Amino acid sequence: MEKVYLREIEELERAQAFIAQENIENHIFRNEYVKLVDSFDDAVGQMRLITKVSDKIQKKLDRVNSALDVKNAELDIKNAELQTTIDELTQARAGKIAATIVLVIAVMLFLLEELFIDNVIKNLLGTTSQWASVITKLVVVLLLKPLEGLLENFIISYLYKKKKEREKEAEKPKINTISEL
Amino acid sequence: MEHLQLEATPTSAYIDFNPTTGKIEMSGRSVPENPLEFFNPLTNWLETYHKEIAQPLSFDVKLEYFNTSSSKCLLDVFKKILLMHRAGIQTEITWWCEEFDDDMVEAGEDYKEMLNMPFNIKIIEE
Repeated sequence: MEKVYLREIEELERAQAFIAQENIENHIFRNEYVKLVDSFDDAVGQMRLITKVSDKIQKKLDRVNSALDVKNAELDIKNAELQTTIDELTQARAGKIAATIVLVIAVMLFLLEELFIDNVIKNLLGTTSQWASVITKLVVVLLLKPLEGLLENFIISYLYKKKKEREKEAEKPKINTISEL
Repeated sequence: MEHLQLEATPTSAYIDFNPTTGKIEMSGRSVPENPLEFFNPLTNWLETYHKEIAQPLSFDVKLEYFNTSSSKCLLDVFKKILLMHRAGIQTEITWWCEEFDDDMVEAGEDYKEMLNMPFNIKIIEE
Protein backbone atom coordinates (compact mmCIF):
# COMPACT_ATOMS: atom_id res chain seq x y z
CA MET A 1 0.00 0.00 0.00
CA GLU A 2 2.80 2.42 0.96
CA LYS A 3 4.60 1.80 -2.34
CA VAL A 4 1.76 3.33 -4.35
CA TYR A 5 2.58 6.68 -2.71
CA LEU A 6 6.27 6.40 -3.65
CA ARG A 7 6.26 9.50 -5.86
CA GLU A 8 4.60 11.62 -3.16
CA ILE A 9 7.08 10.36 -0.54
CA GLU A 10 10.00 11.17 -2.84
CA GLU A 11 8.64 14.68 -3.34
CA LEU A 12 8.37 15.17 0.41
CA GLU A 13 11.90 13.86 1.02
CA ARG A 14 13.26 16.16 -1.68
CA ALA A 15 11.59 19.16 0.03
CA GLN A 16 12.88 18.07 3.44
CA ALA A 17 16.42 17.75 2.07
CA PHE A 18 16.12 21.23 0.57
CA ILE A 19 15.03 22.77 3.86
CA ALA A 20 17.99 21.12 5.59
CA GLN A 21 20.40 23.08 3.38
CA GLU A 22 21.99 26.23 4.79
CA ASN A 23 22.49 29.65 3.18
CA ILE A 24 19.53 29.54 0.81
CA GLU A 25 18.28 32.84 -0.49
CA ASN A 26 14.70 33.83 0.33
CA HIS A 27 13.34 33.83 -3.23
CA ILE A 28 14.67 30.31 -3.90
CA PHE A 29 13.04 29.24 -0.66
CA ARG A 30 9.76 30.73 -1.82
CA ASN A 31 9.85 28.84 -5.14
CA GLU A 32 10.50 25.57 -3.33
CA TYR A 33 7.72 26.34 -0.89
CA VAL A 34 5.28 26.91 -3.78
CA LYS A 35 6.36 23.58 -5.31
CA LEU A 36 5.79 21.83 -2.00
CA VAL A 37 2.37 23.42 -1.53
CA ASP A 38 1.38 22.33 -5.06
CA SER A 39 2.56 18.82 -4.38
CA PHE A 40 0.76 18.77 -1.03
CA ASP A 41 -2.40 20.11 -2.68
CA ASP A 42 -2.26 17.30 -5.23
CA ALA A 43 -1.66 14.69 -2.52
CA VAL A 44 -4.58 15.95 -0.41
CA GLY A 45 -6.83 15.88 -3.49
CA GLN A 46 -5.76 12.32 -4.24
CA MET A 47 -6.28 11.21 -0.66
CA ARG A 48 -9.76 12.72 -0.53
CA LEU A 49 -10.72 11.06 -3.81
CA ILE A 50 -9.26 7.68 -2.88
CA THR A 51 -10.97 7.73 0.52
CA LYS A 52 -14.31 8.60 -1.10
CA VAL A 53 -13.95 5.92 -3.77
CA SER A 54 -12.79 3.31 -1.24
CA ASP A 55 -15.75 4.07 1.02
CA LYS A 56 -18.11 3.48 -1.90
CA ILE A 57 -16.46 0.21 -2.87
CA GLN A 58 -16.56 -0.86 0.80
CA LYS A 59 -20.29 -0.02 0.85
CA LYS A 60 -20.76 -2.17 -2.25
CA LEU A 61 -18.90 -5.06 -0.60
CA ASP A 62 -21.00 -4.70 2.57
CA ARG A 63 -24.18 -4.77 0.49
CA VAL A 64 -23.03 -7.92 -1.33
CA ASN A 65 -22.11 -9.52 2.02
CA SER A 66 -25.53 -8.68 3.48
CA ALA A 67 -27.25 -10.18 0.43
CA LEU A 68 -25.07 -13.29 0.83
CA ASP A 69 -26.03 -13.58 4.52
CA VAL A 70 -29.73 -13.46 3.59
CA LYS A 71 -29.20 -16.11 0.88
CA ASN A 72 -27.24 -18.29 3.34
CA ALA A 73 -30.03 -18.06 5.90
CA GLU A 74 -32.58 -19.04 3.21
CA LEU A 75 -30.33 -21.92 2.18
CA ASP A 76 -30.09 -23.12 5.81
CA ILE A 77 -33.90 -23.17 6.08
CA LYS A 78 -34.20 -25.07 2.79
CA ASN A 79 -31.53 -27.54 3.93
CA ALA A 80 -33.38 -28.16 7.20
CA GLU A 81 -36.63 -28.72 5.26
CA LEU A 82 -34.86 -31.09 2.90
CA GLN A 83 -33.34 -33.03 5.80
CA THR A 84 -36.79 -33.37 7.44
CA THR A 85 -38.23 -34.69 4.15
CA ILE A 86 -35.34 -37.17 3.77
CA ASP A 87 -35.84 -38.35 7.38
CA GLU A 88 -39.58 -38.79 6.80
CA LEU A 89 -38.96 -40.71 3.58
CA THR A 90 -36.38 -42.96 5.27
CA GLN A 91 -38.82 -43.61 8.12
CA ALA A 92 -41.66 -44.38 5.69
CA ARG A 93 -39.42 -46.75 3.73
CA ALA A 94 -38.29 -48.51 6.92
CA GLY A 95 -41.90 -48.75 8.13
CA LYS A 96 -43.00 -50.34 4.84
CA ILE A 97 -40.21 -52.94 4.96
CA ALA A 98 -40.90 -53.68 8.66
CA ALA A 99 -44.64 -54.09 7.99
CA THR A 100 -43.98 -56.56 5.16
CA ILE A 101 -41.57 -58.63 7.30
CA VAL A 102 -44.01 -58.61 10.25
CA LEU A 103 -46.85 -59.72 7.96
CA VAL A 104 -44.78 -62.68 6.73
CA ILE A 105 -43.79 -63.56 10.33
CA ALA A 106 -47.44 -63.29 11.42
CA VAL A 107 -48.63 -65.64 8.70
CA MET A 108 -45.87 -68.10 9.59
CA LEU A 109 -46.66 -67.90 13.34
CA PHE A 110 -50.36 -68.46 12.74
CA LEU A 111 -49.61 -71.48 10.54
CA LEU A 112 -47.17 -72.75 13.17
CA GLU A 113 -49.77 -72.26 15.87
CA GLU A 114 -52.49 -74.08 13.86
CA LEU A 115 -50.27 -76.98 12.77
CA PHE A 116 -47.99 -77.61 15.74
CA ILE A 117 -48.67 -75.55 18.88
CA ASP A 118 -52.35 -76.60 19.01
CA ASN A 119 -51.20 -80.23 19.06
CA VAL A 120 -48.61 -79.50 21.75
CA ILE A 121 -51.30 -77.84 23.92
CA LYS A 122 -53.64 -80.75 23.25
CA ASN A 123 -50.95 -83.22 24.39
CA LEU A 124 -50.10 -81.18 27.46
CA LEU A 125 -53.69 -80.57 28.62
CA GLY A 126 -54.98 -83.87 27.32
CA THR A 127 -57.96 -82.21 25.61
CA THR A 128 -58.63 -79.61 22.90
CA SER A 129 -58.86 -76.19 24.58
CA GLN A 130 -60.32 -73.45 22.43
CA TRP A 131 -59.27 -70.84 25.02
CA ALA A 132 -55.65 -71.96 24.98
CA SER A 133 -55.59 -71.58 21.19
CA VAL A 134 -57.20 -68.10 21.38
CA ILE A 135 -54.77 -66.97 24.09
CA THR A 136 -51.80 -68.23 22.03
CA LYS A 137 -53.08 -66.35 18.97
CA LEU A 138 -53.65 -63.24 21.12
CA VAL A 139 -50.07 -63.41 22.41
CA VAL A 140 -48.84 -63.64 18.79
CA VAL A 141 -50.99 -60.63 17.79
CA LEU A 142 -49.84 -58.57 20.80
CA LEU A 143 -46.20 -59.33 20.01
CA LEU A 144 -46.54 -58.19 16.40
CA LYS A 145 -46.67 -54.41 17.11
CA PRO A 146 -43.52 -54.25 19.32
CA LEU A 147 -41.78 -56.51 16.81
CA GLU A 148 -42.69 -54.09 14.01
CA GLY A 149 -41.31 -51.18 16.08
CA LEU A 150 -38.04 -53.01 16.77
CA LEU A 151 -37.64 -53.96 13.12
CA GLU A 152 -38.39 -50.40 11.99
CA ASN A 153 -35.71 -48.98 14.32
CA PHE A 154 -33.22 -51.58 13.15
CA ILE A 155 -33.91 -50.83 9.46
CA ILE A 156 -33.68 -47.04 10.02
CA SER A 157 -30.27 -47.35 11.73
CA TYR A 158 -29.14 -49.71 8.93
CA LEU A 159 -30.25 -47.23 6.23
CA TYR A 160 -28.49 -44.32 7.98
CA LYS A 161 -25.32 -46.38 8.37
CA LYS A 162 -25.38 -47.20 4.67
CA LYS A 163 -25.96 -43.51 3.84
CA LYS A 164 -22.96 -42.46 5.98
CA GLU A 165 -20.77 -45.06 4.29
CA ARG A 166 -21.82 -43.74 0.87
CA GLU A 167 -21.02 -40.16 1.98
CA LYS A 168 -17.60 -41.26 3.26
CA GLU A 169 -16.89 -42.97 -0.06
CA ALA A 170 -17.86 -39.82 -1.93
CA GLU A 171 -15.55 -37.68 0.23
CA LYS A 172 -12.53 -39.91 -0.43
CA PRO A 173 -10.17 -38.40 -3.05
CA LYS A 174 -10.24 -40.39 -6.22
CA ILE A 175 -6.87 -42.01 -6.99
CA ASN A 176 -6.39 -42.73 -10.65
CA THR A 177 -5.00 -46.15 -11.40
CA ILE A 178 -2.28 -46.57 -14.01
CA SER A 179 -4.76 -48.08 -16.45
CA GLU A 180 -7.09 -45.09 -15.99
CA LEU A 181 -4.21 -42.72 -16.66
CA MET B 1 4.67 -0.53 -29.96
CA GLU B 2 3.36 -3.98 -29.31
CA HIS B 3 -0.15 -5.02 -28.34
CA LEU B 4 -0.37 -5.26 -24.52
CA GLN B 5 -2.70 -7.95 -23.24
CA LEU B 6 -2.86 -9.21 -19.66
CA GLU B 7 -5.22 -12.06 -18.83
CA ALA B 8 -7.54 -11.70 -15.84
CA THR B 9 -6.70 -13.58 -12.65
CA PRO B 10 -8.73 -13.92 -9.44
CA THR B 11 -6.89 -10.85 -8.12
CA SER B 12 -6.14 -8.79 -11.20
CA ALA B 13 -8.14 -7.35 -14.06
CA TYR B 14 -8.02 -8.09 -17.77
CA ILE B 15 -6.15 -5.48 -19.80
CA ASP B 16 -6.12 -5.06 -23.54
CA PHE B 17 -4.17 -2.15 -24.98
CA ASN B 18 -4.17 -1.98 -28.74
CA PRO B 19 -1.78 0.77 -29.91
CA THR B 20 -3.06 0.49 -33.51
CA THR B 21 -6.63 1.39 -32.63
CA GLY B 22 -5.74 3.43 -29.55
CA LYS B 23 -8.20 1.47 -27.43
CA ILE B 24 -7.62 0.23 -23.91
CA GLU B 25 -10.01 -2.07 -22.14
CA MET B 26 -9.83 -2.98 -18.48
CA SER B 27 -12.34 -5.35 -16.89
CA GLY B 28 -12.91 -7.64 -13.93
CA ARG B 29 -11.67 -7.40 -10.36
CA SER B 30 -8.56 -5.55 -9.28
CA VAL B 31 -7.29 -6.59 -5.86
CA PRO B 32 -3.61 -7.40 -6.55
CA GLU B 33 -1.16 -7.84 -3.69
CA ASN B 34 1.35 -5.66 -5.48
CA PRO B 35 -0.67 -3.11 -7.48
CA LEU B 36 2.41 -1.34 -8.86
CA GLU B 37 3.63 -4.54 -10.47
CA PHE B 38 0.30 -4.81 -12.22
CA PHE B 39 -0.30 -1.16 -13.15
CA ASN B 40 3.28 -0.14 -14.02
CA PRO B 41 3.27 -1.83 -17.46
CA LEU B 42 0.09 0.08 -18.31
CA THR B 43 1.41 3.47 -17.16
CA ASN B 44 4.73 2.84 -18.96
CA TRP B 45 2.89 1.93 -22.14
CA LEU B 46 0.78 5.05 -21.88
CA GLU B 47 3.94 7.16 -21.59
CA THR B 48 5.43 5.46 -24.65
CA TYR B 49 2.15 5.86 -26.55
CA HIS B 50 2.12 9.57 -25.68
CA LYS B 51 5.72 10.04 -26.86
CA GLU B 52 5.77 7.79 -29.93
CA ILE B 53 2.24 7.58 -31.30
CA ALA B 54 0.22 10.48 -29.83
CA GLN B 55 -3.01 9.47 -31.59
CA PRO B 56 -6.60 9.56 -30.18
CA LEU B 57 -7.04 7.23 -27.25
CA SER B 58 -10.08 5.73 -25.56
CA PHE B 59 -10.04 3.88 -22.27
CA ASP B 60 -12.93 1.60 -21.27
CA VAL B 61 -13.04 0.65 -17.59
CA LYS B 62 -15.40 -2.18 -16.65
CA LEU B 63 -14.32 -3.00 -13.12
CA GLU B 64 -16.69 -4.81 -10.81
CA TYR B 65 -14.53 -4.41 -7.71
CA PHE B 66 -11.17 -2.88 -6.82
CA ASN B 67 -9.20 -2.24 -3.64
CA THR B 68 -7.85 1.04 -2.27
CA SER B 69 -4.36 0.61 -3.76
CA SER B 70 -5.89 -0.04 -7.16
CA SER B 71 -8.00 3.13 -6.87
CA LYS B 72 -4.76 5.12 -6.43
CA CYS B 73 -3.05 3.34 -9.33
CA LEU B 74 -6.13 3.87 -11.47
CA LEU B 75 -5.95 7.57 -10.68
CA ASP B 76 -2.30 7.58 -11.81
CA VAL B 77 -3.36 5.95 -15.10
CA PHE B 78 -6.12 8.54 -15.54
CA LYS B 79 -3.59 11.31 -14.86
CA LYS B 80 -1.37 10.00 -17.65
CA ILE B 81 -4.38 10.22 -19.98
CA LEU B 82 -5.14 13.69 -18.62
CA LEU B 83 -1.61 14.77 -19.56
CA MET B 84 -2.24 13.54 -23.11
CA HIS B 85 -5.55 15.40 -23.16
CA ARG B 86 -3.82 18.60 -22.02
CA ALA B 87 -1.23 18.08 -24.75
CA GLY B 88 -4.04 18.27 -27.31
CA ILE B 89 -4.51 14.55 -28.00
CA GLN B 90 -8.14 13.43 -28.30
CA THR B 91 -8.81 11.22 -25.28
CA GLU B 92 -11.88 9.69 -23.75
CA ILE B 93 -12.45 7.61 -20.64
CA THR B 94 -15.61 5.50 -20.31
CA TRP B 95 -16.51 4.18 -16.88
CA TRP B 96 -18.87 1.20 -17.29
CA CYS B 97 -21.12 0.15 -14.40
CA GLU B 98 -23.70 -2.55 -13.99
CA GLU B 99 -27.32 -1.56 -13.65
CA PHE B 100 -28.32 -0.67 -10.05
CA ASP B 101 -24.64 -0.50 -9.02
CA ASP B 102 -24.99 3.02 -7.59
CA ASP B 103 -21.75 2.80 -5.59
CA MET B 104 -19.71 2.19 -8.73
CA VAL B 105 -21.53 5.03 -10.55
CA GLU B 106 -20.70 7.38 -7.66
CA ALA B 107 -17.05 6.23 -7.67
CA GLY B 108 -16.93 7.10 -11.39
CA GLU B 109 -18.46 10.49 -10.68
CA ASP B 110 -15.73 11.17 -8.10
CA TYR B 111 -13.00 10.42 -10.65
CA LYS B 112 -14.80 12.53 -13.25
CA GLU B 113 -15.00 15.47 -10.87
CA MET B 114 -11.27 15.35 -10.15
CA LEU B 115 -10.04 14.85 -13.72
CA ASN B 116 -12.01 17.51 -15.59
CA MET B 117 -11.70 15.86 -19.02
CA PRO B 118 -14.04 13.78 -21.28
CA PHE B 119 -15.18 11.10 -18.86
CA ASN B 120 -18.37 9.15 -19.63
CA ILE B 121 -20.25 7.03 -17.14
CA LYS B 122 -22.29 4.34 -18.90
CA ILE B 123 -24.52 1.51 -17.75
CA ILE B 124 -23.91 -1.99 -19.12
CA GLU B 125 -27.16 -3.18 -20.75
CA GLU B 126 -28.07 -6.68 -19.52
